[in-house]
Formats: sequence, structure tokens, C-alpha cells
Amino acid sequence: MQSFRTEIENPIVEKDILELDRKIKLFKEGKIDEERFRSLRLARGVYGQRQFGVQMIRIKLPYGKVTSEQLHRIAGVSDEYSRGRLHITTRQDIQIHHVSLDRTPELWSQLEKDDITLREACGNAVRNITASETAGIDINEPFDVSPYADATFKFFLRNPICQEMGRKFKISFSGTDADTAISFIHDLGFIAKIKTENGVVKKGFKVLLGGGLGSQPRHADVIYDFLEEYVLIATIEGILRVFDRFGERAKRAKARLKFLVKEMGVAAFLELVSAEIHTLKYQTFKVDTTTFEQPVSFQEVTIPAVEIENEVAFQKWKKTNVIKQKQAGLFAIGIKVHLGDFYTPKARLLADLVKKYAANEIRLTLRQNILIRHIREELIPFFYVELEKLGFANAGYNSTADITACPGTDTCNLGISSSTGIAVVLEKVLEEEYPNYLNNKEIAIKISGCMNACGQHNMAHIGFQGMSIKAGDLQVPALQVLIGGGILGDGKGRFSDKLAKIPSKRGPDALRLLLNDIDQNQQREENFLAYYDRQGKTYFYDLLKGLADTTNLEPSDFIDWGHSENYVKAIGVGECAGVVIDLIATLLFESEEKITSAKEALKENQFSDSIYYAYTAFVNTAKALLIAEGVKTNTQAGIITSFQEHFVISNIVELETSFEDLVYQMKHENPTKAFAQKYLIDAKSFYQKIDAHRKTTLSHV
Amino acid sequence: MAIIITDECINCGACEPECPNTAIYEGAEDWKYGEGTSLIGDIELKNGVTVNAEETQEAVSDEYYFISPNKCTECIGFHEEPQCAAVCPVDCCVPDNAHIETEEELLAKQKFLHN
Repeated sequence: MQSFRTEIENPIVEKDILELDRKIKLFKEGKIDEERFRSLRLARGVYGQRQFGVQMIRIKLPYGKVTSEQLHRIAGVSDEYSRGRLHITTRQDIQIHHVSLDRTPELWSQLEKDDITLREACGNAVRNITASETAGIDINEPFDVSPYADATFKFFLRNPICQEMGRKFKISFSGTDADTAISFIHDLGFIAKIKTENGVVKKGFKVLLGGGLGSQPRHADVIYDFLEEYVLIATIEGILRVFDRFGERAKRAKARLKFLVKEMGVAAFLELVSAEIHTLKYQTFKVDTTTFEQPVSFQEVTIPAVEIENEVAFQKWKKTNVIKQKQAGLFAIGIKVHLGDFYTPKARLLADLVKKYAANEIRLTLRQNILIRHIREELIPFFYVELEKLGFANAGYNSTADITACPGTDTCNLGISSSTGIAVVLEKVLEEEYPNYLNNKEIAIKISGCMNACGQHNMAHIGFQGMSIKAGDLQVPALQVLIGGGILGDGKGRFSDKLAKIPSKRGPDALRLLLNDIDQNQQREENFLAYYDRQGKTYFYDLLKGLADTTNLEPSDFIDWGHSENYVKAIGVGECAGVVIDLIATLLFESEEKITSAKEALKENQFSDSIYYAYTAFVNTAKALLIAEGVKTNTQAGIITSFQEHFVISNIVELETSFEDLVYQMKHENPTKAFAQKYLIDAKSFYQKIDAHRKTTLSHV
Repeated sequence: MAIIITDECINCGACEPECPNTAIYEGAEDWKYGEGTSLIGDIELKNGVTVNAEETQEAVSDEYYFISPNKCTECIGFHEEPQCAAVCPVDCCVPDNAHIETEEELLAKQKFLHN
């Protein structure tokens, strides 16, 4: 069983995987708290799924970049541990399902052989760093954002400042003002910019903070019009530190950064960030871009002669799926992956094709597609023929007919009604009845199975969200129809209006009504959003209202798309959340663990890391005592203040200074060895004091 | 009548920002008459009880989102239909049989909340 032990070269990764293995065993023996185990496994990409007893595994692929070798590796893992299906997510990850918990450490160790991680793919951590799929090849980009996305991924992976935040944290990088990485819906969104000062061209980013979708979408605020590249990492670190300290932890629905920014105000938030600057390991950090700037190299191959059988189809595909790169003579090919699902035999053939005839790299896209980069012009017909054999040459890449959908009720616990089922039907309606929409790259249709919006339905031009409607004692699977969202560019975007709630079976009719109306009434010079605004929300509400009538339901309305039995509402609890751990003993035990981590980091001269571990030990220890007294512990900052009020002022716990001054030393000191040593001693003695206090209290009970 | 959120609520929070009267709160959250309305100082409710608009009121539910019946106008005066019910993904915002009111009464309530 321990076969993976000797195979992993990186000792940090090995430690991680062995720890997961150990914790799984302890969990199975009932020796660790279930909730606690859950947050551990989530931070290692192991997620629950709708089907009992098996796991969904999220493979974290920074900015969606995958080499041929990695794709082979992922396919192998899917065949061995899952069912051969690979699902591309809207955040450029790959998910595989039906994995047994016991085998996850082994699976992870397999992936690591090709430098693929599961770490922090789920849970309350910095999630996958996404980027425009055309980064590095886009004609319009000021520079390639890939190295910055890569550096951000590496810097924050396993970083102690963002391991147990109040909630998840999403970062995106857009290569151009078209903002294809959708910065306005991210906790932190970056858009590449350049600026010339005294004849020197400087790279930097427009920065957006505090956006998000979900049931309460919020448009991110622009916090910098131009942030120079060398302070990128420091800025992110400062923001994460403030989020960790002030972010809500008890109320899950209010724990995302967007709520903190809204409550505190951007100016006050940024003031706290700038106060963090002393504590950072790097005040400036130069991202190494050299590996991304190598000339594109190819294997030496003779170009196979091919015959195009259907020239019309080829031209149509070429028009919608082939993108000219900024590199002269090179093109990228978009593969429209239906629902983001593809299977391992084809994945392997694609991997071989890309290695031999392209430059050994694909990017997974935010619209659940694949983009192959670096195709020489003379190879385009050959690729068409080869991709067609794989069923990967459907026209309409990124078009209206290229619908985005989360997995919904197929595998997700949170799904309310089917998202993939309706997506299939709507794509069919478009192909058969509205084929011109295969060329339409303006209007996007996106579908989510619930309000959490993994399918990004509430920022699309046309969106659908899974719901249910009561009809007597029965439930009808339903869809909310939303219109009027979209990316406006340069960091601006719109959320859609919720228009009507209709039985799912009427989804196709809703789309028909809408498209027929557009075809009839939209002016030639008007884009879709201008047309929507001209007519107004009520106009479209009235257009769809008839479909919302539930007095005339038919038996088929009670059966969801892709099902044959009557719909049953089954909604589980989300796993994204860090669970509030109220066990005092567990908390104190964790403080000990944090002190150990602080010691280890100090030994390795990682002073900043050591200080942060000691800081979390202080907070955790204080929290344990506050919980014992029934005091609210919603945020770290709140814990620090409350501890002072409840225990220090009343002399229950005697300290030489105030608790605030004791803990917040780290805000004023630079991360030197001397300070890290002192701070660790302080944290340790505080822990010992509290532990002793608790033992005395218990002995008196 | 006012709208009530049943125990089928999945705590998604979709209804909360839709309410024109700020009558919807997350479970266990304290609430005030003055929030999202023009009420200030001492106010007299329909049942004759006097309360302070800035005074904290106890949560109606500890587990689910809840609607303060005295602040709910079923969206009368604002929208064609109750917005919470329109956006609820599980259809659990339903008429509250314990608080039945006529359209006139609801309109009067709306005026009282936003004078």
C-alpha cells in the first residue's frame, strides 16, 4: 500500500501525501473529528459528491496549462482510479469522479510524477489561478500573463498565510482588456497593462478586488489602475493577510472577501493592507519570465498530406475555431468540448498529436474547452482531419451554441435541477433551428444547477439556473431565466437580471421566444446588451411570463431533462466551507501543531512563515478559551479583541502587556530571525499559560 | 398577508438582497425596524405596541433565513409579485397564513415603512 512512499522526489510533497494517508486512516478508525478531516481533505482536492461513499477529485491546473505528458498522466489516473471521464471546469481544472477515498494518496502521488498537484484545489485556500487561455499568443496582449499566474500559484501554494482562511479565494489574470478571465467576478482580478515612463516601458496590472458570483453577486472594485509587476506578490500577500484576520468565519454565507470589502469599504481595507507591508517576506518580488520567453520549438516532422473531404465544413470550422497568434505563422485551434467532458482514449490521442505536431502544450479554457497553441499554418488542414477523427472538430468554438454548464445534479451535492440535461437540449435547439448562432461570438449562454453559479450563469448574456417549483405535493424541476449579463471589458461587467422561474421542460421554449424576439426586433447596429437595455427588464419579463404559469403542467413537466422518473428534490450541504470547530481540546491540540510548524520553519530560516504559524497559534489558543466561555469567535481580529476584554482586563489570564500588543507585535516588526525567535517563545508561553489555566479550571469542575 | 420562509430553506441568501423593505435576514441575525426603511425613533406598530426603530429585535429563526412580518408588504408598492418567492430556488417563500392582510393594509404598511 505504501508503494508511493519511495517514488516521490520532493520531500515536501511526500510529507503532504503521507499526511493525507495517515489522516484517512485515523478518520476511518474514528480517531479524528469528521469535520476537521473534511477540511483537511478539501485542501487536498478531495471533494464529496452526490453519490454516497465516493469522492470527486479536483486536479489543480494553474492557468489551464497542460503538457502532453501531463495529459497522459491524468488520463492514466482517471482510468485507474475513476471512470475514464475528464471534466473541464470553468476554472481550468479537471475533475474526475467516483474515486475511493482510500486510494486518493496513491492517486495524488501518481499525478506528482508529472508535477501535477491536488493541493489547495478545494477548501478555504487560494484556488486555482486562472488566466486567459490565449495568454502568450494573443495579438492584443501587452505581455504574457502566464509567468505571473505561475509565480502566484507557486508563491501561495502551502504558504502558511492562506491555509485556513474564512473562505476560498479566487485569483484571475486577463491578458487583454477583453478581460476573458473575467476579473470583475474574482476576489482578485488582474488585467495586463503597460505604461511608458521616461522612455521605459513598465509592465503592470489593473487590479480588481472583492468581486464574486453566487447567490449575491458583487462587482469587484478597481483598486489600482496600474500596479507595477514587482509589487504583485506583495500586494496579494497583504490582501490575503487582511482577509485571514478580518474575514468572517462563523457565518459561511457571509465569509467571502466581497462581504468584508463591502462592509469595511475599499479605502479602509486597503489601509489595513498597507499596514501589513513590514511583515511580508518580500516587499518586492521579481517574477522570472525567462522560461516563458523561449522561442517555440517543434519536433522535426514531415507534414502529412491530407485530403479535406468537405471543404465547406472545413472553412466553417476554420472561421470559428482557428485563432491567429501574435507569433508570425502560428495559429491556435479551439476544440469545443461538449459540457467540458472528454474521455481518456481521445485525451491520449490528442496528447500525442499535440506533442508531435504542435508545441506540446494545450490550455483548458474558462468555457470548458481546449485550446491547442502553436500550430504552423501548413498543418491546419492536417489538424482538422485528425481532430475530426476524434470528434473534436465541431464548429462554433466560444459561440452561442457553445454552452457552459456545471455538472449540476449529475454528480454535485448542491445541484437543484439538471444543468447538463438542459444544456444538451439547448445546444440541439441552436444547431437545428438557429444554426447562425454557431457564428455568434457575442452572446454567451451559461447554466448552473444552483445559485452558487459554478456555471457562471448570472454574468452571461443568457443564463439559466436550476431551481424547483412546488405544485401541490409534487416538485417540478425548474429553471430561472436570466438575461443581460456580460463582460464589458477593462474590468467592467454586468450581472444579469433574474426574469422568470419556469418549469425546466420549457427551457427550450424560453430560448426560442428570446431568439425569435431578437431576430425580429434587434436593430442592426445594436449589440445584444444594447437591445436588452432599450427594451428593458419588464419587456423581457412579459415575454417569458407565460412560461411561468404552473396551472397547466403536464406529467412530463415533473420529469427533469435526462431522467425518466419524476423529479425528487435532493439538495445536500456544500463542502466548500471550512467548518467551525468548536472542540476546545481539538483547538488546543492544533495550537501545539502550529507551534511545531513555527519551530520547523524557524529551523529552515523561513522567518516570515514561522511568525505566521506562531500568530495562528496565538489566535487558535485564545479561541479555545473564548469558546469555552461561549463568546462569539467570528473573525481572528474579533478573537484578539474579545480575549483582551474577557480574560486579560479581568485578570483571569495575566499578561505583561495587552493581548493585542502581544499578538500584533508581528505587525510592527520586520520578519527577522531575532523577532521570529522571540515571537515563537511568546506564543509558546501563552499556550502553556492557557493550557495550565484550562487544566486548573477542569480540575475544579 | 406577509410571506414566510419555510424550513425547506437551503440558506442560499438569494432572497435577502431582493427585498425592497429589508425585511429578510439571515438566521440568528438581529434586526431593526429602521434598517432599509424610513422609520426613526419610537414607532407605533399596527397592534398598538411602541418600539424604537433603532432597537435590536430578536431573530425569528435561528436556523434559516427569516422575514420580519411587520416589515413585509409582499412587495406591494414595489413589484408585481413577491421578489423573494420569485428568486427562491426551492420555492420556500410562501404566504404566511398567520399574517393575512388585504392589499389596502399592505399598501398602508408600505407607506408606513417608507413615508
